[in-house]
Amino acid sequence: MLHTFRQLSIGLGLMALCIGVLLLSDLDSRVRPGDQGRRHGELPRVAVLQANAQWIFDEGVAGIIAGLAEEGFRDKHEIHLRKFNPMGDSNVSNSIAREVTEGGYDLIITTTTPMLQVVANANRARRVPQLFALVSIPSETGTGVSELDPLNHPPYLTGYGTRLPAAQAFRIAREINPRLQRIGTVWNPQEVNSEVQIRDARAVCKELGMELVDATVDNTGAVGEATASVIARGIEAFFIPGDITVMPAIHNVFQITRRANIPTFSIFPTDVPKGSLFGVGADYYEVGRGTGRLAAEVLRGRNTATIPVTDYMPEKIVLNEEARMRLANPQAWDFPESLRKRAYAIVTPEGALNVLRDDPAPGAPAPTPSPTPAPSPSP
Amino acid sequence: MTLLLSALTVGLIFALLALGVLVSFRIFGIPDITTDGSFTLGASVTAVLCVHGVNPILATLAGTLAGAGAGMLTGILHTKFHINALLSGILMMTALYSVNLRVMQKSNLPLMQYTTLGSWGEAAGRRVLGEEAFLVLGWRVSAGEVALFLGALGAVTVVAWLLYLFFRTHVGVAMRATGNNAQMIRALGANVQVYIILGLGIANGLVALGGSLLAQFQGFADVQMGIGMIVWGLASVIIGEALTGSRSLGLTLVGAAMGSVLFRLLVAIALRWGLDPNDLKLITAVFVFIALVLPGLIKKLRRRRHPVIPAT
Repeated sequence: MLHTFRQLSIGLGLMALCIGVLLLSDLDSRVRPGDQGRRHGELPRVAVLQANAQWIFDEGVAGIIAGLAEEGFRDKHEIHLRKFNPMGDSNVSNSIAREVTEGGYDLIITTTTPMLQVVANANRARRVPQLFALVSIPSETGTGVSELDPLNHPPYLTGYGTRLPAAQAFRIAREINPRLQRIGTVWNPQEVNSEVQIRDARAVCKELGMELVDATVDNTGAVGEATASVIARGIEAFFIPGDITVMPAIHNVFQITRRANIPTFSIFPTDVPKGSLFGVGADYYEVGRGTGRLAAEVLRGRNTATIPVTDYMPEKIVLNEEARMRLANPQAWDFPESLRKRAYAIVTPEGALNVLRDDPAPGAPAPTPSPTPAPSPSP
Repeated sequence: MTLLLSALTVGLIFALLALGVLVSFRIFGIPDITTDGSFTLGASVTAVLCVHGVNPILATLAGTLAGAGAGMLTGILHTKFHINALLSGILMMTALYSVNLRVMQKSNLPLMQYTTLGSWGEAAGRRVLGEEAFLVLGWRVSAGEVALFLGALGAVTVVAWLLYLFFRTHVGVAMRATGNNAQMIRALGANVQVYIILGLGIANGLVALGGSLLAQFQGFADVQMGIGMIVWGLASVIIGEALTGSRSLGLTLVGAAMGSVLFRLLVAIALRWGLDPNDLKLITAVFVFIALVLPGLIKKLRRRRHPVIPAT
């Protein structure tokens, strides 16, 4: 028995040490008698969470911080801001969710669907005000957000939904080439966002009398092959979805489609100069900024229960003349004037990016009703 | 405090995974990649059944059995079709990607609004303690979280104890011997193939139980949640071995569970200290390295202080 204990002693000792260290680091989150929330003079604490190190999320988070700063909430001056990123590890996300819901934060801002879910689950008992952004369809996350009534959501949980504009992308493709019939795509069925986009794409194809030719992949290495297989089945254009598995292989897709003389389009305008014919997407920095401004309202005391869950999709269209001219039949893909007018930027035939507008967001941030009742007209 | 409790609870849930990997890797010497798929399979089967209102205990059991079935299939691929063990695991894991998607019908299934072992545990904790939360040494502790921690601790203790008992029965000893020296066992007239199939079934059943409990604890099942699980399982087993420095049955079982908990605690500390999120993976790797090297160092120091004179 003693021998067994001795053999376990190193492990037990290390565990005790870790528990001790963890508790010591956590001393300041103890409840003091008569303590009502934050101690006087301390800055409000804000946690910003992203699920992974991807540029879309990075842009969203940068936007959130910028939005907060615009409203006068700068890190280390007016607020204490801490960023969390589990790097795609769902178990670390669990730990982070507990840390932010228990760690004395005054506001939690989550980006992406998995982070929303995992924090909302941990937050059920604690009910720390939580804002979400970069979520495609909030009502499908199982967090209690209603599909029909924007004000029907858990009182401590609200935010912006940003549906990936797959349907718009298909409509624009048809607008450019009215004779377009078969569009190919490659996606990973394991990703919620891809699933939503493909569902939208199928619906819009049915509506416009087009056909979606798709192949599925489960790793980035298989994207090239799948693209080639879709092309072999006869398509006129190729849609690159916002899919974490497909995106890293985008150059491979460009190479293969270019060889087959097939134009590509995507929902990420940033990728257009690399070789897409056009891209229509959400400006995630703008979405973040809107969320940051909303966060500022909550920090000023607005009740999250009164904030409706709304869709916010600052549309950004980028067209690529260079990619069009490279096609065998550029006139079939001529950008109509109405589309050029809506575009945020155009890549010139020489390959230079020509920004047409300063404001990337013609949709403008979704207006949220004022927290205070409208002032009565003064006599 | 909550971070500590959640790290311990998740660590214990992962201990089930570690026990599963221990069975396939240490007893049969097969680094069974089916693990990545069967972890998710356990979660997805349980999640779908919970959504359809099935009793959570039955749902958990069904998830576990599904995982065991997958493991046995890997065993059949390996023994009956003579496919290399590693390849059989890869085949099964690949097939399970599609199976998991079919089972869930989508890639992510939220469970927050349904009855699960998690919601039961939380409710039970509140009922027993009579209140939402209480103070321990000044920390506010939620009754539900304590209940979940105790539940996970109970589950791991029972499972580890059952495994210990099983591997001391005739069949269990024969299984362990199969991993050590299959030829000898065959010479004794035992059916090695059946033992391997059964063993991989047990291993993946345990892994699936871990996945099922994790889904219920975190409130959703995701089709990607199993990716890389085999690595963490192996890490826990190896850390456990380094810590106990023993290959006796009981100690390896306890060691694997301890390795898993220790690993989660280290991640929790890294988070609590607010280390740069981009460095998190590097820091975990350094932690694992220290956990692997430290026991050997301590032993060396001890030996230097009290040199052992070999008996002649």
